[in-house]
Amino acid sequence: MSALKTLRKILYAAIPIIAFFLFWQLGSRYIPRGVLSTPVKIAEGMWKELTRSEPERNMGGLTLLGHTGRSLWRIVKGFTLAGVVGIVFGFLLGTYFKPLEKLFVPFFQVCEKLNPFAIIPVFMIIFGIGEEEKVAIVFWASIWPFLFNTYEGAKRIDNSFIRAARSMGAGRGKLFAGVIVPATLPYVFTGVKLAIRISFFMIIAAELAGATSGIGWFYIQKKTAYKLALVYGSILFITFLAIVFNAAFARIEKHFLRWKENV
Amino acid sequence: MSNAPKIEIRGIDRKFKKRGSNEDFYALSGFSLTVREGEFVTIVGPSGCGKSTLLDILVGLAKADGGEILIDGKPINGAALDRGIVLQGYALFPWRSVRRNIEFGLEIKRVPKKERRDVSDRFIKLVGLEGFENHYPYELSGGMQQRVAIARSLAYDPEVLFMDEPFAAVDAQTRETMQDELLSIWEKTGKTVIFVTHSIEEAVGLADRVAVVSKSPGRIKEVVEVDLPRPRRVSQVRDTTDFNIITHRVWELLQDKDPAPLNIGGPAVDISEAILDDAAI
Repeated sequence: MSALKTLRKILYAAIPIIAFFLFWQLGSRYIPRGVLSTPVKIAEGMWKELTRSEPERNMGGLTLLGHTGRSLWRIVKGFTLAGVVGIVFGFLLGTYFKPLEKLFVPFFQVCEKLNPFAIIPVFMIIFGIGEEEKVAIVFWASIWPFLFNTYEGAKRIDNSFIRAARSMGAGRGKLFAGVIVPATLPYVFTGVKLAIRISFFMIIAAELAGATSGIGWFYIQKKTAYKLALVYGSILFITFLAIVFNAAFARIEKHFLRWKENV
Repeated sequence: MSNAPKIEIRGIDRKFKKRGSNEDFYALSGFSLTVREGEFVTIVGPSGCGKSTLLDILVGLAKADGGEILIDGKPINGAALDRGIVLQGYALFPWRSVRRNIEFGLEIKRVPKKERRDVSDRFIKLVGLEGFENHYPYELSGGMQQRVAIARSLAYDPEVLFMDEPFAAVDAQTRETMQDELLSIWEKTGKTVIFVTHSIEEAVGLADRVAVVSKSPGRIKEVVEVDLPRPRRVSQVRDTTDFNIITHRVWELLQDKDPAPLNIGGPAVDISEAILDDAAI
């Protein structure tokens, strides 16, 4: 795509977003006080929080960036662990362990259906409120897209690829690394993108439910203190972070799947 | 071309279980064929005559239930790099560039990178794909993909090349070009080729001998010698009388007719009559 085309695409996408904030800014004067903040106030408030060098009192000894770091670190741990376990299991169930497939896949499908938000209190009881509990919640919720997408992809490999490789004398190792993995990669990336979204949902939920640090907790503190601008600001900030992460992974996907049409 | 038998297929049986019963169904029964070194043999037969099954067994993707296959007098055991196959529908790896597709077999052979590059360069040139080395399969036309598939099966230097209806998916014009290109590649490389097709013209045009296969169970009905001059181009022999006689002979065999002398200039069926007949019903 040419630079001009890209620019135009970005411009079109930005118009409704800008219009939305403009409408919000202008419309908020007709809303009773104390319900809505305005984009300008939110921006001012968030800027102050983001540039703060010393943590405020009663904020757990961390600035907003510090809390963000805590949350992201929990996501990274839970997401990575889920990725490794989910992808490995997905490959095993989809390829070499057919008998286990019949045994485990239906069970995992039931696990996936459990409402992850409803499980948060149970995880609090099991792990106690703290780091392990947060990581476990992210892990539990984000492992399923990894596992099921990898599993589906590995199962659906075009048999002609396997035949072609085997006809050239490919052994198990080459078959796996040279055919099964690259052929499954597009499905794995679908799983990765879903898991990212879910991780962000879950970490906020977990921190809202009980924590002493993290963006979710920051958000709850500001709500308790009735700092409206920061309440709305936190929501926008969390959304922004998720978008940045998604875009980063879309980049990585594009790099690895450049052999695919329309990626 | 020497007279030493390169491939000896001796009484191959292959049976499948019929769906929903315990009866066996023979896809191949007592299939025997001997192919000389450097020979180009085509196998032609109706669909479902076990042609693809035979190639699977030859290349080592499937096992026979009886009989044996010798290559250079030694029985084969599984897939190996002494045999290459061009599968139906190309089966190129979409995640690999043209060059990396061609190098796949060489990687299995553990050929060092530098040498792989030299070999792939040579085969890219042989099939006329210079300038497309780094393209991915989706960026290529059907004919070009076919060329990559042929180059991929030749690059690791198998002694025998099997081809399973390789030109079935390309358009008629490309098909003609590809046939002639294949003959020219074959002349340059001197490989022994077994080529499966359901097109009689293709079978006769390419081959030294055409093996005509009957249906269920698949076995050789007759092997027809193709005594057309070499080096040959399908486009050049196609209109010769010899070609037509051989083609007709193969056609008769496939129609299950006893060979009869050619009835040239005999009464032709009046098409209008046939149409009217139909209309009367």
